[in-house]
Amino acid sequence: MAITQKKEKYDLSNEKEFIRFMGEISIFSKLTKSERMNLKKYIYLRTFKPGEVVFKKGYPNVVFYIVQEGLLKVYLEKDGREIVLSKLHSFDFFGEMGLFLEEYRTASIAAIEESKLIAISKRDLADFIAKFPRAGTKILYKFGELLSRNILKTNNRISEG
Amino acid sequence: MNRSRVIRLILTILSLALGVAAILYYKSIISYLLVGFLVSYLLSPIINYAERSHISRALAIIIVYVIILILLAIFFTYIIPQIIQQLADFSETIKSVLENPEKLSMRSLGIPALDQLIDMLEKTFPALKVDEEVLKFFDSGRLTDIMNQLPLVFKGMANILAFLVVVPVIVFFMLKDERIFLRSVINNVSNRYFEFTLHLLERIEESFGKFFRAILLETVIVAVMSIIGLLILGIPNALILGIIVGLANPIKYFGPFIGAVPTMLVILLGPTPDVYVFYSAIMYVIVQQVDGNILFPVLVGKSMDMHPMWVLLTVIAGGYAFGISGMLLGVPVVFLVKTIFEVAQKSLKEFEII
Repeated sequence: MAITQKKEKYDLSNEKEFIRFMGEISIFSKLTKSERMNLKKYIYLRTFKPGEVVFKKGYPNVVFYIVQEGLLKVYLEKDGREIVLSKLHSFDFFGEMGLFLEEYRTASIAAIEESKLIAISKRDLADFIAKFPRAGTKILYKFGELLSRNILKTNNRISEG
Repeated sequence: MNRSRVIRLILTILSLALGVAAILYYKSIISYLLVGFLVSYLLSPIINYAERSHISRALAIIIVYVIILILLAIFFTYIIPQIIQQLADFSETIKSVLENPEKLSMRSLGIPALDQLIDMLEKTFPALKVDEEVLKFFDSGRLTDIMNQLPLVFKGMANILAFLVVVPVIVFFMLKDERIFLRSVINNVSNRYFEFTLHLLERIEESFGKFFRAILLETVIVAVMSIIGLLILGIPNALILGIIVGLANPIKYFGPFIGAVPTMLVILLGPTPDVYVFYSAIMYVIVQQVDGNILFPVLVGKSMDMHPMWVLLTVIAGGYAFGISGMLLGVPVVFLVKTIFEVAQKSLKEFEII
């Protein structure tokens, strides 16, 4: 999920910077400025210290996160050992599967460096989509595109392997 | 004990003291806050719906207020005088009977079957005087107490005025800034409990909110059905009697009977022919069948998952502890506590907090 890295830091309490930052996130990139601004009322800003766990495998799916800045790891615990699956940087997001499935978290996430995350609860996103259907459609299209790409990637990997 | 622990202890004590002080300071308006919270909880689905149709929250609330004002105006100009009239009639009827004991005889009701039953009872148990027993029951003073308390409602007018000004203001801000209030609470939750809190709130809202609104709707529909039935039968005081039936209805098992008592009294003591007891009983049975077989399953249905025996015991215990209001509120309160405990326990486990 690594996307081109930008070393810029954003101050999300500032309206303009918030709109600019949200434009950099692929799923929100198609939204107009005012639509991105509307999203601001639906988010939580959370800061995680190094080593702090965001969630663990098996927790209920409640929140979808976007990394504003920092570094996090996606990992699984097996026999007390930690297997790191991938790392997350600014502009990455995680927990999107939970938006569509009533399942539990499939992996654990913890901060490596101090990390700032944007959290959107499943219910708030549903509210946003219901209230702004036009913007909601754009977001859902982007999610569809993203998930299709993932399937394509998996298919290619299977056919190659 | 190291220093940071001492500091933490001091801070905890200080914040507790502050909490107590805040409660003492605000104690006179806590009832306003509670009512405001309740009203905004009931209205919030309407405001949310309006918001989805791109009407701003503030405007939606004002529209709702105007509608409520119009309804209240209609209520006060047409319905309240009628209710007051009916209440006065009703209490007059009962008082006149209570004040002339010799007039009250079960035989004077002129129901042949009842007379036969009394004769039989008095023959079998010579010590028993049915009329005296009935009198003793009324003499316990409960009924007269209730009647005498009615004017008290009007004495509290000054309080009511303050209430009428303050509560709408509270409701307005609670509704308008609902999301901001909730958000400021959730923002202050530590990372460990952040997802847990969101999850818990959603779950409680899901199970209790549904239940609460369903019960409310059920009450209104049963009241309306009863009023229509009473109007068809041509029984006086139909409005107030129907409202009583609706209000008593949420009391499981006992409610329908409690609610029907005033109707029966009005018929037996008033000018309506006594045979209407029978007709109105049939009407209430029909209303209860509609409620039990259609309304309750459709509206409340699975949202209340409590064993019938538990419900029955809760109603009885509520009655012993707090009287009628205990019977009425016992089940919802117990259900709320039960829901919170169950949901909290499940969520605490899911998030590995316990």
